[in-house]
Amino acid sequence: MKRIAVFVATTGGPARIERITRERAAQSVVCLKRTSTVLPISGAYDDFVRPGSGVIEREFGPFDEGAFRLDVSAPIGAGESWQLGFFVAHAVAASDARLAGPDDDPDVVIWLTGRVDYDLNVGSVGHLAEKLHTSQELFARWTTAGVPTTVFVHAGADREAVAVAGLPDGIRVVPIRAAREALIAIGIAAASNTAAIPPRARDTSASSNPRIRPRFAWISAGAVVVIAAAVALTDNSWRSLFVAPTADRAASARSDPPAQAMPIVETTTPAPVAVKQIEQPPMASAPTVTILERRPPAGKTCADVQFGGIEAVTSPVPVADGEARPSAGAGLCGLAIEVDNGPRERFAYVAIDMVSGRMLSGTIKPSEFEGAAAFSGRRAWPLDLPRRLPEPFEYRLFVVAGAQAIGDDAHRLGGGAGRDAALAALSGQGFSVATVRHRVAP
Amino acid sequence: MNEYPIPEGRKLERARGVFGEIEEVTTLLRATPGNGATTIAPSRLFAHATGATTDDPDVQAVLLRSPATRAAYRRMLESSTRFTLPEAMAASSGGPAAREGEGCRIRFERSRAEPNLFFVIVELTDEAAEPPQALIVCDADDRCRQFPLPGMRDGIAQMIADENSDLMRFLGDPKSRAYLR
Repeated sequence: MKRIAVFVATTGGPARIERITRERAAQSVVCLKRTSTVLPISGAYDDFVRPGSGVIEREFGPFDEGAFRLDVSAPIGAGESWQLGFFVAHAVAASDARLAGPDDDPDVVIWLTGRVDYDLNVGSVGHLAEKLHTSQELFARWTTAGVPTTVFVHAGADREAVAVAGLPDGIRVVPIRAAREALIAIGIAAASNTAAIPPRARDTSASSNPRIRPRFAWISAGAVVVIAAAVALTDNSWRSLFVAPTADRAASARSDPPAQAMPIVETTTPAPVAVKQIEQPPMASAPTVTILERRPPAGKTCADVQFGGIEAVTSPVPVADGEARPSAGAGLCGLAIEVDNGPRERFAYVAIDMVSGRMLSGTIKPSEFEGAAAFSGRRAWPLDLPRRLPEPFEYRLFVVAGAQAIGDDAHRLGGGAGRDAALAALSGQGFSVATVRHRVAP
Repeated sequence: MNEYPIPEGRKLERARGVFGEIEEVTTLLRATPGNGATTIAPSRLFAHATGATTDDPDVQAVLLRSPATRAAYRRMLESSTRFTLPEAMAASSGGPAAREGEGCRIRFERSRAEPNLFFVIVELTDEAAEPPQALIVCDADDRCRQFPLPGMRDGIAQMIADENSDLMRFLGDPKSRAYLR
């Protein structure tokens, strides 16, 4: 059994997570050195653990009734940079590996700092130089002992800070954007309920996953392509046009069920009022967007799909009038949002706004779906469902596409008061915007 | 060994007067700060009972010595606290018996990680109630101890206490009463 020592970086020096114990307590607590001293971050840790507000029980549960006691070797002050270390420590505890205690000789040492949000994205933190400085002794100790030592930080500014600060030889630095990337790097990805999509399942480009087929055709040349954006803009001047997918695409999905309705695309032209239309370069062929249901193949389970590397059977979800056909949750491992740009490089931004209920993703949105990097061919964003779906959920999917990089306006599509203004702004800039509502029932 | 003849009549009355004066002087001297009081102003006792003051050594000294003062303190305490936990329920996890009062409950769970420690869990059934700041436990002789409560979350305050701590000793006494203030 691999023994993994997990250190949380603090400006006062690294704090080792010594032990995690499920207790018959009412609230999860962080204790110092196995004593009755409760650290002030306990309230935040309890929030981080609880289903609803946090991710630990969601990702690694279910657990017996109670809460966690987590022991650390040194105080951890305010802030949220402990979250990544705590998340990984819980993953270790839930895996076949073992959390190395103070008396154990670890096989692996990991050092982490980063915030973890509800979707398991890792956020940047501050005071990295100080944290690295106060950890020099730790690094020297374990590298001298020949124990593989890895530093996990948020990709981006934190990675740059590490590069500037410098590390002793032998320290491996892994920049990450999602917590699951750390689990994969450590080899314990299967410990998580929803965060452990096999890497190849994430890369569903045409070459790696030919079974995923576009079903949500989209025509845009010079016009604004909107599905149900009219609902958001409440402008009757938007004109709808529904286009069915080509027959060869429908036939090519390996295990498509008989289509109840053909996938549909709504194409509209922008309203002439209050929208400044900028001519986009014409597209050689239309990009397509498809919502896919992901189910296990015959004889397999969703666990095999999510943790065992078994490829899901995908089937497109028909769309009409900006509404996707409701999906039945039974046997449904997850969904996938696929954008196919065809042979030409284009930009795309994809956002999901929950209308009701809750959907667990825990998966990584492809970086190309942030609208900053052009791509050709297909990219897909797999979304996992929880093992138990107690109530229906409904979400609204926004996809923005264009020949130019998509700016900050797109980031307001995920919800909030700025959505309508963002839609108008994007339309005014000549981008294509598609919106679909989709409901998944238990 | 000394032997004293017991006075009688007018001599006895005079002796009583002299000793009374001595006692008054002693009282005046002890009432000065640092000397330890034998009596205390009701206002100071009330302030201590209601939590307006928490660290008054004179009050604590008087409470230690005077059963009558303790009884008065107890009455003030009961009138100023919002929650009382008088009853004992079945013991849990080998620890003290749980107690349940109107609108509140206190229970104990032995730690799996450190068996000498207990989780002391104070729960309010009315989560909207103003959260209490302190737990006060009084034994049958009206000796009371006050323990600050951590901030309540969702109507719950949780502490970790050693099984040999004062908190566990007081709460482990089945004749004791607990109050939330």
